[in-house]
Amino acid sequence: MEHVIEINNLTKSYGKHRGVIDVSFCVEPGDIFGFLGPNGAGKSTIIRSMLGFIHYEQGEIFLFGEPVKSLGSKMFERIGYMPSEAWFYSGMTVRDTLKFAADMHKVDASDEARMLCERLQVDTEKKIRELSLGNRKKVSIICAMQHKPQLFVFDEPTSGLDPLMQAEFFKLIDMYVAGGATCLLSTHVLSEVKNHCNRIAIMKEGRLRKIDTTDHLTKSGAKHIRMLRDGVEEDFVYKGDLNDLYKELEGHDIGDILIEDPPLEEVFMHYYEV
Amino acid sequence: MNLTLFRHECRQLVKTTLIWSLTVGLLGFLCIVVFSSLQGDMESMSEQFAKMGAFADAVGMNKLSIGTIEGYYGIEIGTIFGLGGAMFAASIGIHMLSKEEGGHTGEFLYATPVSRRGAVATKFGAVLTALVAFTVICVALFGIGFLILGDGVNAKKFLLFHGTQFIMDVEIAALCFAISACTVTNMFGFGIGLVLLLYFADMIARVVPSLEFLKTISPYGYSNAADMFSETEMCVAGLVLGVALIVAALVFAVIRYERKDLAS
Repeated sequence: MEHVIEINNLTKSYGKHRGVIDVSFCVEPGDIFGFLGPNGAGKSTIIRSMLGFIHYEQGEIFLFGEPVKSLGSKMFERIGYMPSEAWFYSGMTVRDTLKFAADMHKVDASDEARMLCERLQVDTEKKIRELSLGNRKKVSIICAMQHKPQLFVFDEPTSGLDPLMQAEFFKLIDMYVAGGATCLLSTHVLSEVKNHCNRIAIMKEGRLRKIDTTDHLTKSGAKHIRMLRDGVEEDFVYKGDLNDLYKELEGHDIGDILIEDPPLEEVFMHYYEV
Repeated sequence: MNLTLFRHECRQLVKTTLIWSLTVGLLGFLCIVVFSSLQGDMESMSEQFAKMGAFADAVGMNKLSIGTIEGYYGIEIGTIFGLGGAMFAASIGIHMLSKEEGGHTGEFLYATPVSRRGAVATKFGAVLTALVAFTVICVALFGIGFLILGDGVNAKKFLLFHGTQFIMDVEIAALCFAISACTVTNMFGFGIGLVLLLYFADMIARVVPSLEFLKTISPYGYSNAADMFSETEMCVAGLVLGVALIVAALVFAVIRYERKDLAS
């Protein structure tokens, strides 16, 4: 089956500053793909390279099986992108903004926009300059969704949204993915990827540290160990062979020991700290 | 050319275009309608200005008499319209492309199926439309002024002057547009500075014989009102260079903007 996103050996630098180094991964049809990493890890650089906003030095990027460089701006007929910062033309109303975005896609998205505005509780008569960050984010979500694209790319979509709207946002993603779409979700909110993504890529310092299914990552062999060794409490994630750990513990006074699968937060921190 | 983007850009330019064209147009209109009451003073001023040597050469008073309607139009309104139109052209051209990044709207706009080349063509189309509107409004107001005054200037010279002024405005807009492709911030001050530099380059060329070549470089060289109304031969080399610069600036803008990493 054709990958929706295929990135091979992507390298992008900003002059002397690191961008991303030799990153490769694929996103399959129907995936809700979580893209995790701290600020400055290179997540946005990969997204912006993929969407043609910035140019990269090495590597190849394919969307829907075609090189992005040959797709050009036509790719956006099939992509809904929500940038991390939701900015629009400040003098326009929400209604005009949504109409402008739909017209640029050459589609009549009025029914879909109406449904999305109702579900996300957006007042379309307000001017963009009157909106709070959260409401601008909602408008950005609607702009990305209203033309019913095949691929959604969300960069930090839920920052500024209240918990109810975050839940509604993920219900909408689930609805579109059930209808055949694919979603790339860049975030550093672990609970979002744990609860909604089926695959996860973890970035650190411009490199891809790990890519796997959410299930595998949470059951990856790493164990969360809590024990009382020689009267000292210890709490850590252990990635090695447990037999080696048992050998290491021989001769020590083990007062108590608990070995369990770590929560995703600890897996994530483990890759960050490597 | 993307019609949705074109309409959007034109809408964004309406207020600025009206402000500039009504300001310049009404200023010229008022100057025209008060000419008859100033005519006597203008005739004596003209004699005094004629004795001012280099200054008179620089502003074209060695060729025109400010005491006649044609001389008055060429010197007074020609200066107002020449500077006002060029400043308007610079002000809209200088941030036409950079405003998307400066206003953080680049990712919103370019996440739609519009290519950067298409956006450049469309945005310059909107600039041209604004310049046409500016010229038409000003010329209409000047025409009304002549009707009220009951006097006028030679129609052929009038049209030639405003035709070359339009090309000058397009040239300045295109140069500023090319600069806009390289920047992220609004370089309004730079645009106005460029206009004044070109204006003074033309004045210097008219005073210092060894610097006459500046007349070819500055667009004020081929669109000078004093030259038009005194039927001095037009600086054709300057006009050809101007048209070549328009084409070069637009080609540069397309290439530079397509290769640019968009700021988020």
